[in-house]
Amino acid sequence: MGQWQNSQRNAGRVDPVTNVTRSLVSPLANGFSALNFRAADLYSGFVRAPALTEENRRLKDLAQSAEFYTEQVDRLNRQINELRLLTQLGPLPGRERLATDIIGYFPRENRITLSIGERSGVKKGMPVESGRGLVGIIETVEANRCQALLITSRGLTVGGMVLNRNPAQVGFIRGQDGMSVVLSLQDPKSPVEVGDTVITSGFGDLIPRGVIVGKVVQVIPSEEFGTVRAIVDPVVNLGALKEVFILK
Amino acid sequence: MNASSSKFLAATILIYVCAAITQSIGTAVQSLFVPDFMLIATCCLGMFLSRTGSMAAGATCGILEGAMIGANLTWYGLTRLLAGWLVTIFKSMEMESNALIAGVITAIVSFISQLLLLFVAPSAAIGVSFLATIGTALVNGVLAAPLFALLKRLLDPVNR
Repeated sequence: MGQWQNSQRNAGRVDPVTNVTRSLVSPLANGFSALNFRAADLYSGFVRAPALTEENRRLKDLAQSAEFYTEQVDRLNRQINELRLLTQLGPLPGRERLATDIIGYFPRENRITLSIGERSGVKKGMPVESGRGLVGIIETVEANRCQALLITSRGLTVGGMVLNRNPAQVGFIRGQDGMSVVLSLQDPKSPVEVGDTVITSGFGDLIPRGVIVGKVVQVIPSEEFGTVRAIVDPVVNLGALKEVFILK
Repeated sequence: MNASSSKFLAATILIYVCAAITQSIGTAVQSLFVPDFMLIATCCLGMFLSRTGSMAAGATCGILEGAMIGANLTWYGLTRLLAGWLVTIFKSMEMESNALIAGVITAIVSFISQLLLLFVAPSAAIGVSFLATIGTALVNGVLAAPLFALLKRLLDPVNR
């Protein structure tokens, strides 16, 4: 059963047992989730109403001022894509953001279930991010939902690099203990320091460069193996998320 | 409705509700003390079912849980099947049948089952997972007590 499940997963699909189970359980589970969110929002509204009103006002101002820059960035991105097409390089991944709700969070298995799937154009391997940074990578896709492996999972490896280092320090990011990730660099003399920001390297077809992963909290050089391991604390509080974006 | 039909119906409803809670509760609980509702259902049902019934309920819970989480169905199925069997072993010791005992049995069985899962299908570093296993076992034990009392009222009113 496990092998059958894995072969389906490697193809980005789910096995029929999983599919039927999720289809049967989802209606009631969605009802419980909605009830849970409403109760939490109601409580938050009672307790933090003045602070939330103030925060809302401030965020509206920020959104208004950011609108100008968003337009400018979109225009520049379009220009970059046009230039890449002219040089036959193809468009960069991750330009379109699909907003989705988290409908299941399984911290022990480092997975989240999201409310959109194949019908919205989601594919295996697409990155998932919150407004602050990388959350995970899509592992399996169904018609109306999908499941992503979180960056803290030991089963996930993505290309990463240290921001603002010249030359760029590129390596692999891998989950460690369900709470932090490790950036492994192949040069034992890599100038990585505590506090450095780690981003995705973008050396792939689906994950764009520059999505923030986290901050380096510990550097462990290992000269005998010729590597440096940087322990990275993810910027995203994975357990506190309700909505995320899939980068298409 | 005879006793075995009502037990089957109660088991079906309980497993379905616990599966839905498992899917939705994760977004609300963010600590090491995450309850495992499918294990609670397995343990509580096991106290009212035969050995075969308990093991079947456990395997069903495990496969459903694995399917929702996206984890290995085989290991989840087998560890919960073992949980169902362990509950019937405790039951055969002829201890007093009350909510406190049910809570203690659930905590012990949850710990053994999760520990086994930790070794056969580790998903994170052993240290963190071990702490999470203890946390889950404790919470499961606490939550199992009222559920057992409810099931006893529904399924076994004579011996209440």
